[in-house]
Amino acid sequence: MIGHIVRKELLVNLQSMRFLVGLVVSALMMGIVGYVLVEDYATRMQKYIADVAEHRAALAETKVYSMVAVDVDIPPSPLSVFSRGSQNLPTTLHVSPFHVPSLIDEGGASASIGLNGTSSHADNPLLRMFSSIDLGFVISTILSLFAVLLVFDSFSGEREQGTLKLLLTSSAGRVHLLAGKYVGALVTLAIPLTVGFLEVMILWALHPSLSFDAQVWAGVGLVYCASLLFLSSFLAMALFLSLYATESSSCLMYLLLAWVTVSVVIPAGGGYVAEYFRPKGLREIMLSEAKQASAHLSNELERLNYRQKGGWNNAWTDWFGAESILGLTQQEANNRLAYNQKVVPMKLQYAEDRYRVVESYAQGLLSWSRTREDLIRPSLCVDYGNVVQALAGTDLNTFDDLVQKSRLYRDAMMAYLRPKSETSLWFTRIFEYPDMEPTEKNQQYWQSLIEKEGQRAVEKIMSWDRVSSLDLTSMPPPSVNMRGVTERALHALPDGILLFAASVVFIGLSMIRVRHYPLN
Amino acid sequence: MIQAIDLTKRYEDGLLALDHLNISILPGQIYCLLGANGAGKTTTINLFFNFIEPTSGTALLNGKDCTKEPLLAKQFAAYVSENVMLYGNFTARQNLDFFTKLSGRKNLSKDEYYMVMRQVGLPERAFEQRVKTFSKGMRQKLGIAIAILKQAPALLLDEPTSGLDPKAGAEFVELLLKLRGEGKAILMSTHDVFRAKEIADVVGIMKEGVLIMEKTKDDLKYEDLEKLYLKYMEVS
Repeated sequence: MIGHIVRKELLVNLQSMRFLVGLVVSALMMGIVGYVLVEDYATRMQKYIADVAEHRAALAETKVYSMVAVDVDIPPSPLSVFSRGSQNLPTTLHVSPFHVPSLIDEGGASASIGLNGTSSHADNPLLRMFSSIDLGFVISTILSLFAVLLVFDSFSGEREQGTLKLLLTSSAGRVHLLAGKYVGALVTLAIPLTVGFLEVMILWALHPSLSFDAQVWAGVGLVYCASLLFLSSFLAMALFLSLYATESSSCLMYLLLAWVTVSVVIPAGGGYVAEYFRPKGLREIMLSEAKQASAHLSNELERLNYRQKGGWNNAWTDWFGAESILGLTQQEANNRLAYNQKVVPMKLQYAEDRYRVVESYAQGLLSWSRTREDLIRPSLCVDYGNVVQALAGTDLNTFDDLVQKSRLYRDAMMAYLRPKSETSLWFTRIFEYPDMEPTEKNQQYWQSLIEKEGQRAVEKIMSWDRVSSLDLTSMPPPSVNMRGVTERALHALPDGILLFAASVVFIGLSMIRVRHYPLN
Repeated sequence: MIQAIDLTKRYEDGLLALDHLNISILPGQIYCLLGANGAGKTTTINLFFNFIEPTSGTALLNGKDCTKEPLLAKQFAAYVSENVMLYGNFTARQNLDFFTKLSGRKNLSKDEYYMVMRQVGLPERAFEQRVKTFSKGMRQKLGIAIAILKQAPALLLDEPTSGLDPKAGAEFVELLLKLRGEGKAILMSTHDVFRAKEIADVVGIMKEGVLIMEKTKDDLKYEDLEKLYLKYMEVS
């Protein structure tokens, strides 16, 4: 019974001009957006590969242990063509003894909060989460509008053209009719959706520099299922609302209003409302606490007479962190070693303190961001966006997960590096190169060399370029992996359940409403 | 086969559209309901198909209560409206196929559809033609074909000859008589007094929701139905 109605609906829809127009528009949009984003992904992938090589080379060049720093590069998600999500967030996480990565630690190599407690970066990268045009956006706007145009006159149209009564004189009940129309419209909508996905897959397959594994295809399959679920919930809502008007023109107006509300008003309006709940003064507190922490360390370093005890010949030091020094005597190195026994733990502690200050600020913003998400969650488009973001791994949660993993990696790295801070290899390698040591004999030789060949000749001897790189093979390798498809699917589940629940609720309500739908 | 027992319908706005209607139509009988616009004829048919629910009373099709068991009751009746509307982008055969399958009949061949369309007098060229090009008469004939293919023992026709040209009207009457011969119970609402007298076994006249007269063919043998109709219509 329902099968016949589904078949009829499908035939009616396929023969209609609105289907043809909808198919062409969605195929064009998905093809263009898909092409642009596949190219964008390929570019980002190339940059990622180059960054990985560059950062690996930089690490391999490290000369002293205090300078060890790992840049964890985040690979772009191939599914970002469906949801660009938080792709504006950093693509690299900087991990070093003096830098603990945190959620809003955007900078990579430089700390997000400077010595004077000011930040040179945007105060809230979480706000960069505004949606940009991607395939998820096309599906949630174009195909949802298509859904509206398909079902707005499902019942009113039959009533107006006089076929509704004839339909209901058969053995089909109103609920059968509703179910048939719902499934028929869903199958119709699945056609442009499938065409769009096929376009993207063909673009991927034809791209010379892209190849994908089973995980990616599984992800694509899940995004496809999520898209169908979204369209089914949107159809159910549209069908339900269409049962509140007996004239097609009124139905269309109601449904366009609902579409604008769900796809534009709630997502945008919720964001504006959320501004009122934005925690005030968090940033000021963070900056003030960061300033206090840096001032404290600064005072302590001054008190310990840092400059006098270290030796500064041919040295590079970061006031709060790494140091690499050439041109010290054994005595100076010993002094510095003794001094570092006090200072390095203080610097490491400062890194931890600074991380806590930043993280507290980040968590405050994250909490507010979740409030904002909850405010706009009544929109099916938002729920769908969340599902696709989670599946694509471009959501803030996935980024937070990577930050946490990079922090865990830093713990492993520190277990390896901490004992090294008690050796002179922490800051110098001079004792492996006797001709660099400022002994009396060497100094006389350098003086004669300056007279003969100039200052540059000595600088050549005292060069870091001559120093071999550290052997870091026994240091734990970076193990910050993206979530697998199963884990991503689990994170997408709550919003997926919301979409499913919306479908069930709207269908249930439609079944009640259709029993009272007037035929005259 | 078709029975109304104290069937009453009062709409939400208070209008009493049908007031304790009692009729009974046996297999092989044609019952014509006459009456002016708003007399309650269409309301009666709507109640049999559960398009609306009765305020009180019972509508029965083959003994099945049309309100309590609508899906079961509807299996015993086919419907032809005043203005049969079908899916314009479908051909006549596609429409026939869809509605026949919806009525539970499957696996009918193309020839069987053609045969019924011939039976109702549709021209051969129209069989695979889109219905949006059809005249009203052709659509009415296709409506009858749908009703025939349902093979229901009862037929409820709501002013089916309204707007048909004389030839089409005559063909239609011929078809109804044939269906009566096959044992169908037929309830037809109409304004056409002459046609009612021609084919009806029983004629009922309705006014403001009340069945004010019911006469059999034998009763009408020596009476002028038109005069009777006008007389009842004039009585306030």
